[in-house]
Amino acid sequence: MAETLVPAHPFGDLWRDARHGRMDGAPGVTLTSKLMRTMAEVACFAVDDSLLSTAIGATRAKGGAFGFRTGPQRAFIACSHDDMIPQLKSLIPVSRGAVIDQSHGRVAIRAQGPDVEWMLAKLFALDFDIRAFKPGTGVASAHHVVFALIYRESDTAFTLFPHRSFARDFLGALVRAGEERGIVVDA
Amino acid sequence: MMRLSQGGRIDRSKTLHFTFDGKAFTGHPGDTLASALAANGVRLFGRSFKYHRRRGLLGAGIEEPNALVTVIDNGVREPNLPATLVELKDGLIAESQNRWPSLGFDMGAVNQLGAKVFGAGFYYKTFFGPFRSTRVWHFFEHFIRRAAGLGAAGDVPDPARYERINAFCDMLVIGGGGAGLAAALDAAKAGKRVIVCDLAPVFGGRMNWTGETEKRDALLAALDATGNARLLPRTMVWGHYDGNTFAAIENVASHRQSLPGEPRHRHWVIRAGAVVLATGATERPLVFPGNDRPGVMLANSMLRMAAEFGVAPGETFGMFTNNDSAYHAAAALAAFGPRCVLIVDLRRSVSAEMRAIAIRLKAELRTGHAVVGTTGSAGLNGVHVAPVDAECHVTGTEKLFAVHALGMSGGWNPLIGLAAQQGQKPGFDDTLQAFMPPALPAEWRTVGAVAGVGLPAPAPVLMVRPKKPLDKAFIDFQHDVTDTDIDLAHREGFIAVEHLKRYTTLGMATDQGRTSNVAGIARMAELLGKTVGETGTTRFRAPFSGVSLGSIAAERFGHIMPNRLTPMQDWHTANGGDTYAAGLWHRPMAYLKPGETLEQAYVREAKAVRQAAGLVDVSTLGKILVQGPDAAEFLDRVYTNMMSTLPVMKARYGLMLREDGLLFDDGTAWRLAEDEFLVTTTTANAGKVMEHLEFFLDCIWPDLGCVVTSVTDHWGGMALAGPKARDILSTCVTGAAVDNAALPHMGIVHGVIAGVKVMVARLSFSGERAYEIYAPSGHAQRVWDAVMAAGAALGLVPYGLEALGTLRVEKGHVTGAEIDGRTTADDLGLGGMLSKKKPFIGSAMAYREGLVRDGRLQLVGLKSLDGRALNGGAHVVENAAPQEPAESLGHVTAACFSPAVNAYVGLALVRDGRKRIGQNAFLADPLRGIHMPVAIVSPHMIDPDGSRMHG
Amino acid sequence: MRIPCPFCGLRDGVEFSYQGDANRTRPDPVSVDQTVWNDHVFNRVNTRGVHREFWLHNHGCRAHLVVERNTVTHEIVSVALARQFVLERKP
Repeated sequence: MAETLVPAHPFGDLWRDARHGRMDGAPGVTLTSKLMRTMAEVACFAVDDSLLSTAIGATRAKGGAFGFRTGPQRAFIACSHDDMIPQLKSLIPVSRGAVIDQSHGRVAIRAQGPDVEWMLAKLFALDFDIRAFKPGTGVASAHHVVFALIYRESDTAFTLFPHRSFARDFLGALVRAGEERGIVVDA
Repeated sequence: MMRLSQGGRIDRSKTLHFTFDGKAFTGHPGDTLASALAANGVRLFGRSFKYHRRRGLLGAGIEEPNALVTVIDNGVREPNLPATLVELKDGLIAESQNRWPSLGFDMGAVNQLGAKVFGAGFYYKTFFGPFRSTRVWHFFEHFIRRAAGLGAAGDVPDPARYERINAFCDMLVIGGGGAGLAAALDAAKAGKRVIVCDLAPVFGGRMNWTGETEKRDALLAALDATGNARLLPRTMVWGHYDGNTFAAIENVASHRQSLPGEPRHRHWVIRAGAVVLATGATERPLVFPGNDRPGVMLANSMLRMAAEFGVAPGETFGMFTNNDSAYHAAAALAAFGPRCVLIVDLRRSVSAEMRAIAIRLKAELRTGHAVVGTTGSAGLNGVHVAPVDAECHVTGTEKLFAVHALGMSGGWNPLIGLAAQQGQKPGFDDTLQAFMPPALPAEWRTVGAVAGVGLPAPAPVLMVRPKKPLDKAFIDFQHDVTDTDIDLAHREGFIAVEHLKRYTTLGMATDQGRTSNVAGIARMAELLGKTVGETGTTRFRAPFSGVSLGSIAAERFGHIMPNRLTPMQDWHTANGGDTYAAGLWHRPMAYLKPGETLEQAYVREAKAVRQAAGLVDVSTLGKILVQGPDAAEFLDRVYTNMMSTLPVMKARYGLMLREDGLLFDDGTAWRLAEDEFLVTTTTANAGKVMEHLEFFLDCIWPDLGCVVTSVTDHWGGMALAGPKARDILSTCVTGAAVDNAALPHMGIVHGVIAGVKVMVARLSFSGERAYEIYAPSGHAQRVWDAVMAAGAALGLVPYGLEALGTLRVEKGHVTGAEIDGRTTADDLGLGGMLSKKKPFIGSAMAYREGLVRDGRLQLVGLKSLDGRALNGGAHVVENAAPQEPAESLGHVTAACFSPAVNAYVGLALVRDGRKRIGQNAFLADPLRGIHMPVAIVSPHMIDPDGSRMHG
Repeated sequence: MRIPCPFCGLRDGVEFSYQGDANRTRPDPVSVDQTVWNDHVFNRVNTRGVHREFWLHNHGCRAHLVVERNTVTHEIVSVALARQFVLERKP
């Protein structure tokens, strides 16, 4: 069935092992990508409905998963399991909200390294200092018209979720922004 | 001028090579281009704007108005750079400007002969005066344009990289001199995140030339130790915007070779919680005849040249001043070797302390005197000095003093620009004779010289008035504005300070009046009998000083729109797809076979669709999931027709109107469940429709239990159309029947193709029996491959936008070309879709008089009568004569060759179009010389009863 | 300009798009009184001073906000979620 099929790789030619820009010293940023088999939005009719936290909690309990609020009525989840959508639908009654399958709507790019804040500051009008953007939190923003969700995993690691149709362009923008300090694509 | 053997922060152990106007020179790290040239004895740096007068250095930093150069790097020209701000690097190539054929022998100097005529308003008075209504202006325009401007822009593409970056801080300190660094240190020690910007390569400001380098180093070390401060040298903050947002330009690598991946300039957008303005103050000149002769400098700039850059002004120097700071500068400068031979002070009485300095320096002191003229052809060699009264009128005979250099000081101007860019008016301080920072928001503070700290109190006089001046006295050096220009403006009625500025161009040059505004305003104030404060300044605007366009553009040049790709993009490219960007999305126009033109390709594809089958990528359509118990009710309010009556697993074509009753978008709603609809929109309107729906749910009907979510990227889509479409579909779909009973027109089924769960809706855009197949994007290519394989034996072809357009034109199906914001549903023949049973967005305004009257543009078809192609935008007219087409009856919205009709056809919006069907008319496109006969026909050129679709 | 989105926090103006005057009440959709509808769709008071308006946090959480903003000084006086503002406003 479709769940066992591997989705087409979204990134194109730029996704190969290579270092770009500054070649000497340790790279400022390394990019990797992990396949998220399930990605979904949970939307509730009421602002700050507790079901949003319930959905996030259920996803994170699976381990290695992402779940964070993206709006007053919205949450985003991403994990490597196939069966999250039915589980989420069972948590959200129709009278209170809805679950939207976005498993193919977004892609996940992980950016990690000592200069990751510097690089991301070129693309997003966000304060990436760790005092302002704490590990374990996620935000919704955009680079020009390319919407992206951004989740901070640790001091030096972020995972970004742009829309699939912009994946190649967004990867190109990340690589270009990282060239100043040296950026590695670890395909 | 000459190099001192000691002193300055230059590294005499290293030598840098550079050229200026083709001549080779050497300098040292730490030099600016100006200091290196001066050290080599160069006195002539440029020619002035209007009069082409010989000019030398006036200042040592950002206050410099004369020495504008062009730096050339790999053929790329960067003009209008003050030589005092160009860091010397090995291999630098620079040229002077505004002179021909050379700086030394400049033909432009002939302008000086006509100097009396070239005052303010010269062009207007000449060409609207005696030469009004003649074509004389057009003849002279050519020469005037060549003479205009200072530097020349280059035309070689600039390969440098420019970037922008965002920054946030608790405190932004603008200016890294002593006061700024101290403020930054206090905040950083208290745990605040601080950013300090300074336009110089080193921090410390004046500390670099008052010998306080140890104090500077201690401050910098302490700041570093806090771990809370980001220091940005070579960074000029140039704009202040709402919300304490600032624009700054960092010169990352103009002064050296760029490293790989490194930008040349970086545009910073800094958001600050609190702001400390520590921008300091610049000295201003005195206005007297011959004050622009090379060798006349600002007094403290002369000192800075020696103290920071190790360059002496000459063996001897003099000072002309109206305040005490020139004396201190003289004493400090003399310590480096040059002899101060003369101090001329406008003030009748000076303090004992100043007198003592003059005595110690063994300088002749003339109080109550003024410099009334300068001499020297290659550069200054003497000054004429005469006694003056309190208003600076000359009262006695003049005496000539020999001197190599003259420092002048008319007082100090705090650099308040950034604090006034939001429109607040600065006040004038009578003691300091200067405009001070205006009332500031609570989060702002001013420290140091910009707040007036340490500034001397000058005499309130800036202009010297000899009875018979022997030379021009300059107020604005860069724009060649003289004292007489101010008087002229006053005589001619341009007395408001904003008019004075535009009429004389005072303060309009790249230095934005930093050394000139106050003298000009003071003179106008005097003529008006007002105070300087009452006369006021002109409005301060960003940028504070010159900024490269590259830095502002950053990554946004060339192909600036991001590329949005469908899941089948690579297949299109590999199979002859001639893709182009329709907005953001890349879509194939057609799949060209070798030797085919575009028209041949799309005609072949369209024909194949009507005769066999075709497959087109429709992934770009907007797809919005509408969910909730009130989803159906919401769609009833949003669409013109009923959606709540749509059965589950059926689709319905729908129209949306704007609130003003005009047509907004068309699309299809698929009911996937009782409370779940998938709404499609046109590609171009996807974002707008989404916002439209979100607005109504948030701001008008927040009580509805309904949410909308864009799923455009999640689903890849393809349309399989043609008489063979059902057969092809049935061979590749499992899990669902697709015969006419199971999947009637507008039905939906869930099925599987190549192992992928898909949704199939039987919809037609082309007029053929057609099916839209939606698969999750990551599997869409697999599905596309399977359909193509299934259809290979039956003549299935891929088709692109051009064929898609042709098919829909033949069918008369409207798109955004007809839904252009000016048409109603009825105009396009869709008036029957407006329900009378319920209100919906736009229903209240849709029947306004103007929207239902006769004479509106209505949708029709057009057929070429002479075998020529129609062109989009051409006007429909009744007259046969090309030279008198008469009035436009409408215009062509789409045009193509139709294989089904075997003629060139189009769609058009024509006045009372439906009544004109059956008549002939003409297309007029005078700009392209086209005038051709057409027939007005029904827009539904094939299958008007829809039997091909519904069977 | 920076707007403090109630959900996302202080964000740059570039993330938001203006969605019109928030001082109007939409007429009864069943009504076809042209004067009332013309007024609602076309006429606006051009306030000099504090103006209440809708903004969409387009590049962030996509919530609509009701913002009170001074059209002269550009000061943002207050921000609230539009749906809460509208729900509380209904009788």
